[in-house]
Amino acid sequence: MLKRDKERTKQKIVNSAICEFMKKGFLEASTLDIARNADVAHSTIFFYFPTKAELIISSIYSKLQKLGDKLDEESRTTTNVRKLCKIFLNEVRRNEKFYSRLVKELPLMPISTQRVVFASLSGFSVHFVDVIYKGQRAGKFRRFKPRIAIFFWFGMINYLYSYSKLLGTRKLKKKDLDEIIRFFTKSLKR
Amino acid sequence: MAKQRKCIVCGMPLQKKSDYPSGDTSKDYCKYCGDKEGLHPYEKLVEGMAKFIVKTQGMEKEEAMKAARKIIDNCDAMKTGRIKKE
Repeated sequence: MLKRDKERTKQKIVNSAICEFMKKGFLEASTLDIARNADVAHSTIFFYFPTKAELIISSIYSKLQKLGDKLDEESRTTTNVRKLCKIFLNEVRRNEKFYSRLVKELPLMPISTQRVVFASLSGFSVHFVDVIYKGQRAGKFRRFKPRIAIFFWFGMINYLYSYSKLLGTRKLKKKDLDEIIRFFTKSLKR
Repeated sequence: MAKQRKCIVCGMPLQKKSDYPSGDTSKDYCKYCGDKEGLHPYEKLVEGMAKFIVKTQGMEKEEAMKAARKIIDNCDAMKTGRIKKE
């Protein structure tokens, strides 16, 4: 099979997985249905993704690719944490259903799946850490371990999206989101 | 649009010359996963990735090591035999 045919099949599976994960959730979605909707044999799924965890990770990076790309681009040239926060919030709001499912269900997954999926999310958090380090070296931010800021930022976002219905997250106005970002960025500064 | 190049071990995007080991853009891995001679040995890759996960996700070290081992065991470089478990 040509390399590009393999890539095409892999992407078909990921697209099907994203649909199923959004429809039924990460826990309930079955690889059988994913295969059926991708029009591939069930065993083909496991050729490309030996475990469900790998399929979940690929679906996260495919669905949130724009987020990853924008964070990567911004973090290379800036020490502006506020900009990163805005990018993050905008992209999460665009993919609200997917992100809500992920943050609600990740703690319920088998620990072996949680471990790998959680670790792979470092592909997003690294950009915040890099920008915070740059800000610290430039004397703009206080001295602390950047992962503490990660706890706060992602903890807060995941809270908003875990309880999105109760908190009315979707109804948050721009000024509310700006206030959230301002609260967070102020906590980093000297 | 050209497909984004990524490190065959950790998946880091390879965009600038400074992402590559010694600026060598002919490599298919990043400067953290190898040098101009080649990929780092398995245990060094696991240790490096675990440190990265601890730094960026705040994971506990032992959990990060388990995650790193699993991620590297399933990476393209491992599947194609370019990394061997010691």
